[in-house]
Amino acid sequence: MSSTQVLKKLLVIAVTAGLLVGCASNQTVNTEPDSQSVSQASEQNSTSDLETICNVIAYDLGESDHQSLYEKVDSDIILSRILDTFDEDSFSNQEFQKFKQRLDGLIRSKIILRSDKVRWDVVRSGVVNDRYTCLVRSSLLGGGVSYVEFELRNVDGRLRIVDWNDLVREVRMTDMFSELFHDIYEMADAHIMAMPYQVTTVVKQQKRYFEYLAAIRSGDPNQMLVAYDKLPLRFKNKPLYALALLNYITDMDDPRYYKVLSNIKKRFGGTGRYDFLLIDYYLLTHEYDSAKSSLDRFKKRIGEDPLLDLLLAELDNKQGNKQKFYAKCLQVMNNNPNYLDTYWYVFDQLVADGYYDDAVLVLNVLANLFEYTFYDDAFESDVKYREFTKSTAFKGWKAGSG
Amino acid sequence: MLKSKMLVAWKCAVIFFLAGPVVQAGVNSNGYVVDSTPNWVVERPYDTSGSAMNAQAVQYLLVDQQHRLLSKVGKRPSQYFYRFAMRLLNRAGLSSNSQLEISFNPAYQTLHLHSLKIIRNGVARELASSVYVRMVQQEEQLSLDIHDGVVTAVLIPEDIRVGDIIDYSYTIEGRNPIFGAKYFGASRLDFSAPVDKLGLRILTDSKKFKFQSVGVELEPEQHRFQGLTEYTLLRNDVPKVIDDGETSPEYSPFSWIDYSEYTNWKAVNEWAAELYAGVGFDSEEVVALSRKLRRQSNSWEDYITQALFFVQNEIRYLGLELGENSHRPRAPTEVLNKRYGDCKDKSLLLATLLKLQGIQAWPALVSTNSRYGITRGLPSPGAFDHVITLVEFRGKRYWLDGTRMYQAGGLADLGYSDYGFALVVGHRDASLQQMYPEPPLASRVDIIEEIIATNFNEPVILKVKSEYHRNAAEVQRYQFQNLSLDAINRNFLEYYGRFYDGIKAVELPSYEDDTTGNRFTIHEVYQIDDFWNKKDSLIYNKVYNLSYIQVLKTPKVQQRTTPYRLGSPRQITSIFQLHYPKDVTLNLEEKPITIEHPALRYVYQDQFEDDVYTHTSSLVLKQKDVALTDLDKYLLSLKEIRKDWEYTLTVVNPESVPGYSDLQKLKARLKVISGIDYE
Repeated sequence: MSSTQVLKKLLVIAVTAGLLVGCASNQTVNTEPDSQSVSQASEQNSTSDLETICNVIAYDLGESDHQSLYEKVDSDIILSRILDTFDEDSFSNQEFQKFKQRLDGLIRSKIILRSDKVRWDVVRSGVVNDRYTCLVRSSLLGGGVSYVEFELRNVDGRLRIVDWNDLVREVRMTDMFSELFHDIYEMADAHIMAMPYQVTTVVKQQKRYFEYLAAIRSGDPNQMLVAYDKLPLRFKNKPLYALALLNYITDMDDPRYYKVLSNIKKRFGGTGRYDFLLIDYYLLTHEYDSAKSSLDRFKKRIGEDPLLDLLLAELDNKQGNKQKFYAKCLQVMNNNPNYLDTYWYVFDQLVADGYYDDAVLVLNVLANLFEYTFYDDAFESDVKYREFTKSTAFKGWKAGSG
Repeated sequence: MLKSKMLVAWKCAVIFFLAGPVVQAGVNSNGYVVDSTPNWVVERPYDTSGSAMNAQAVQYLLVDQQHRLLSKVGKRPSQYFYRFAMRLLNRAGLSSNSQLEISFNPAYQTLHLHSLKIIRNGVARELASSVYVRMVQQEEQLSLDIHDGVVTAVLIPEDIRVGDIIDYSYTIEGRNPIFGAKYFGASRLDFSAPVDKLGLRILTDSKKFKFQSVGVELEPEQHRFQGLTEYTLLRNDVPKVIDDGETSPEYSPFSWIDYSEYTNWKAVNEWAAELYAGVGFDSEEVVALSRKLRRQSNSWEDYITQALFFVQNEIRYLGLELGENSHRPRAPTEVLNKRYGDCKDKSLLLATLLKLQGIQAWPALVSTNSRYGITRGLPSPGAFDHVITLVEFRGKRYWLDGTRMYQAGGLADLGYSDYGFALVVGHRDASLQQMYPEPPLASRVDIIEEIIATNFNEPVILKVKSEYHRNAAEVQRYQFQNLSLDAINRNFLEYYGRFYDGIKAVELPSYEDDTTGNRFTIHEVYQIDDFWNKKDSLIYNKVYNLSYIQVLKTPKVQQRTTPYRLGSPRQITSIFQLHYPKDVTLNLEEKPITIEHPALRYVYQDQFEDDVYTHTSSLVLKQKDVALTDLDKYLLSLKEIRKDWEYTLTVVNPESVPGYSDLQKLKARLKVISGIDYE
């Protein structure tokens, strides 16, 4: 319902197998499809309704509906893309079938990692030749931010998801799986392939590698941190494993979150990548100029988006420039009047700054203009609104709205 | 204007023959005789039984031209024989040919009428001796302040009926002595009507004749006749030419053949240089004027423009182009004393004033008709019809025109006309020179239209500020100096009234004329009573982007055979602002949209901020012509661009939306908290 001072931790949600992440929104009114459009889209799925299917994907993500999303995936194409990276004789037929089943199962079960309900919105969709794309992002208010570009193909007259690209983590799903399985495959046989004098070391590395994978499967951040520390260096030097760790660590305390981010910055920060990921790092170290530069660069890649403008506003807020913060929020409000996150964001800040009468104005706008339904005791139960709920302005509003 | 009289004379005959009669003026019977066809003329038979299927009002049976051009001393003067035969197919044909017109210049020419036959049902009546002839000094260019002395013989035969054939022939003897012994000319090889038989025959004692056909590949046959060289060319069943119109001269679809004794442009330049040589420098008055202008100017550049503006504004334009003065300029001192002159007089005076102060300047011959097309034909003095001045100053070239009026500003601000190529008289480069290899902007116009609304129930105010530069400034300067403000106001209102209902002027237009920067600014204020339309909870209004309507047009003929002329390079920018009466929400795609075409670039963008809708747009014409290969794309681009010229803005009526006033209050509060002026 309300903003959670998002810039503390931007990145939370992953969309598949621990590596796709998400949280964002769009300037269009309410991109969540209603039940009617969802059912229509499910029936039609033709090439002409790209926009509708993009909305459906966003809706499924928001509902954490693995099954519905998986039904839109063409796993054959995804699998072939991954398997194409392996030599033909890498597997026996039996091994191949088994491998394929495992991979399919993984995609099916892990296509959305988090089960929290977070609103996802379509930022834009497009067609170039036979390639269809949907750029979606999660809501700012869901506790994290993510931009994911789904790639779709027309398969037998229906648009099917054949890949997706996590723009924040800068990784394509099929590339990530390919890399992961290459590593697994290699490590599984490493003790056989090793020279006799290396066997001890290799077995030790095998153990540590698979312990890390087990830690990821366990979902226990502490266990993952310990396992990551013990990972052989060559895996630590791959973004894949550091990013996997980050998926689970964002809910932890700042020192450990900082540690993981520092690791990413130290190892991969100089590559000109992971601008968006490192914003949290710069916030934790109070390097606001670097955070702004990173955000600006990311905005250049993504294009205009109110969410990014709100993040830029929040950067001003972090630096104590409240006037700029409010001015930028007003600008976002003018340019994207239907982007509701702005109102919640402004509301939280007005409450924090003690502008209770103005905070009530926001509630009126939400209630009257956007027909937002407030639940009983929605504010009273949250500690950050305690003083606000005691104010005359709130009481007056409550009495009026009741 | 400088003219090739001989060329004009015969062209006029053909044009009248095809186009019909023109206005009459005074009478002069000099230089007209009736006599028999010269013995050097070869009789050309024509077929009267041919089908008139493709003809319209008139079937042209024969167009015959035979010229005897002798250069040796003691020979007879040059003779230009013409014969036309046409059948009048209907009343329109009868009406347009009830009188025949033949133009010539009695100062050095004589008209010999040989025959005028009316043939009806195979029986001919000869009317040459009895036909009523009025000699008319038409002075067709009088409206341009040019007196050329040309006379038109108007022949009015009696009893002509539909179905008759008119067959008449005449010779114009004599030629403007200014052209000396070298011959040149041109003959059309097709027309906008079909011609059954078309002949051209030239007899000459010269060995230097060159021919060049343009638009069609034809070579005259060469024979000997009566001791002379005979060139003949005959065309049968010449189809009519369909002229798309709106085409630059160099792409004219018509064909013709040039003949000339001039071997190259340098030879033409030498001919011109003789006419301009030795005049101007010995005049005390001109020297005194040059010194006076120098004293008044604050830089050399300023001196150039002061001299130009003196010639443009203090010397009245008047062309007494009689006889040799069709091409020979008058001495600058004479022009200065009489305070009038034509293009060549003004050009020479300006060049002289500049040279006297050590600035390099030359008269330059140009063609306002052929422009870039001048290179298609043969070199000849007849190629030009205007003179301007080339100035070379500090490594730059400026083409100045002493006949232009309403110019202002510095050298870099002046408007210009691109005549394509110029022959700079006496210049070290004696050949044709391209005036503007990379033509600069000829015009720039910046328009700001602002509509201010106090509420949705009252009339709105439309304020227009138009800023004109270069040629555009000169056009506006002309308008405001020649029309009353009332008349201009009526014109403007008439224009806007086509788009906005209930528009009226709040005040008369006002203007600022910045003559130092050649910038002319016009301010207009109107009230529009019926601007808003309401339906249910919506309020909508039409937006008209009027800045480009006069510039970017759809070709009248779209299935073209010739490139479409866009005009000189121009740039127009337009800002339209609509100040909404109260906070409204307008959802716009604010990205700039660019429509790019090889010949133009159009960019527009919508923005909405602080209750003001702003539409910015700009048009740059990059090429003067749209190539045929680009035409389809041009039409598509135009279609796309036109969508930006008229559209509707729709907003929700704030009074009908719950919560809307809360949103406005919130925004107002955020402005206060944020310090309002944050950009």
